[in-house]
Amino acid sequence: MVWLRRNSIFQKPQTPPFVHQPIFSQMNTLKKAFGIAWLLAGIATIVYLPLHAAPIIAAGKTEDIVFWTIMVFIFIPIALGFCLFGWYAWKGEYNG
Amino acid sequence: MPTKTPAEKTNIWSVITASSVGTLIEWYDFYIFGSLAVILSERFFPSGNPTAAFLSTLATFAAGFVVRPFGALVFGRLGDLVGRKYTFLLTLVLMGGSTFAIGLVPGYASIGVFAPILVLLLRLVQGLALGGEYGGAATYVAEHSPAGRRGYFTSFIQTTATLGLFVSLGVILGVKNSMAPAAFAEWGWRIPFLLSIILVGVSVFIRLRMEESPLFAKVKAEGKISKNPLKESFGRRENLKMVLLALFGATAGQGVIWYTGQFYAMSFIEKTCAIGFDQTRYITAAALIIGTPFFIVFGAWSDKIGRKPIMMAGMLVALLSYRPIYQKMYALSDLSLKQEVVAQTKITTNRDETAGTIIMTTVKTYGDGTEAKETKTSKINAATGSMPETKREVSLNASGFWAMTLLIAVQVIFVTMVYGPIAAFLVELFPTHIRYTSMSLPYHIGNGIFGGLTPFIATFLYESTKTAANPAGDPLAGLWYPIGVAAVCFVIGMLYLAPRPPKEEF
Repeated sequence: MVWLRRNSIFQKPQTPPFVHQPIFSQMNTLKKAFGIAWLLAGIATIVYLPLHAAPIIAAGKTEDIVFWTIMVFIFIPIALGFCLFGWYAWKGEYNG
Repeated sequence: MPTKTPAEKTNIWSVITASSVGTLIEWYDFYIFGSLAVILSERFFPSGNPTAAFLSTLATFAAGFVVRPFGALVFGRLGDLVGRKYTFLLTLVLMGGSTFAIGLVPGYASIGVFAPILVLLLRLVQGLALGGEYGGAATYVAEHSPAGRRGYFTSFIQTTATLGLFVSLGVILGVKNSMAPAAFAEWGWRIPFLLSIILVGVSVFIRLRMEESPLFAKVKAEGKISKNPLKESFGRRENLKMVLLALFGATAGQGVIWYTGQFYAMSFIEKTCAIGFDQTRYITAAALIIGTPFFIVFGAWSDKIGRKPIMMAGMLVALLSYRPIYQKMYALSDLSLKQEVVAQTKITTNRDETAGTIIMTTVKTYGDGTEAKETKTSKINAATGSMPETKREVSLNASGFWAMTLLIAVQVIFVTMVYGPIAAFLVELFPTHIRYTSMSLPYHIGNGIFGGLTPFIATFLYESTKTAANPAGDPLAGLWYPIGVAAVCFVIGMLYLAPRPPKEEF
């Protein structure tokens, strides 16, 4: 309630709005900008992992086949989740 | 802070004891498999057999780590549908039963390929059970805890993973040292597995006497139980975005720091620094004793200043200090930096006609008291020019031992910073009716996948640095994986995590 009274839209702001507002605004812009970075990083992982794993799996060493198959099948869904996270961040879902 | 009656205080400690003992036993069960991996592979996965080698790798990666998130989904859903108490009772019985059964499986020599198949299946059950246990225990304790003390009370659950490792190391060292090495390799290794049934029996007895979580009971009485926890947790954008935030902004970084501090550190001193089996385990055990109380310290502190600052500070100091710490650890065992006392060098040669080998052992002593034992084994009829099998074992002096212990203890303290408050952080992020499901998945992807694969990915990175020009490679290259994941997680956590959890719901 105290916060509401102090921040009521009917009350004249004590300080010019640009003192506080740009901080939230800049933070939200930053969150969105990083969202694009997470989205691109997720896509890069989805592309890179199979390309890197394919020749190793083709070489036919048992341990490498299991390890890299698991890496591809586990980290691609995680990378998709990372893309989704980036998408949400870009769309402002995490904005304050 | 709400005042609690003496009866309520007694109740919360009973809840913590029942939950922590069971979870500790589950971690113990899970770790003894890893700690006895060398003996298990000799008994069940002989190196000459490709099927057994395939099953061995699958047992290590898939069952140990990858299956855990599936356990989180299966048992998380069950926990949100039928209740926390019966679900984590079930996971405990499954874990204890499968661990006990591993101790009974006849070796490859007796039943052939059925032996590794049985072990793999039992290891899968272990992984599934572990995936369901932690979320239940953390949720159960948190839902009994008063607001403002959840960090403190759930931190006792957080100690169990470390204590489970400690107990597993203690039991294995105790059993190993109580009998001849041949007897331990033959049948003694089964004792830590068989012992599990007694521990689980006691824990089940304690847990059976506990009540259902009051918050879940209330939700159930009000008819507000989720009809489809999986759909509500991961099919609704509002909740899914928090699951993703929990994973990428907290548990992934926490997982790599956890596994780097407690497992990669142990593997690094044993394999890269060539410290002996027993000394490696004594160093790790001592570091765990020093670090463990800090789970409670940081858990309690998170109730006062929030979960985020402590977890983020833990990630930051870890990623900034890993390389200097590991550089120092490497230097402690680097014999090229030490002065050898040539007069004290002992060389012995043993010729074993029945095994057809010649074993040459060289024990070197250094000015600071460090000892290095090098064993070269060669075949009597080996072709000219063939290289003998060389094994090196370094034994640190007292100051080296404690310096190494301190360096690992510091890493365990980083673990306590990120891991101590995380149970409270996760349970506060999700509503009661889908809490078990929603928190278990990011926890086990963060710990099981990001964390659990740390030693393997780090080893891969290290091996990648070995070139013709530099055959030794960069021993610290493996650290780029935990540093990279922790750095991304730190940025995400700082940007997107709220300083305080939402107050509604609990």
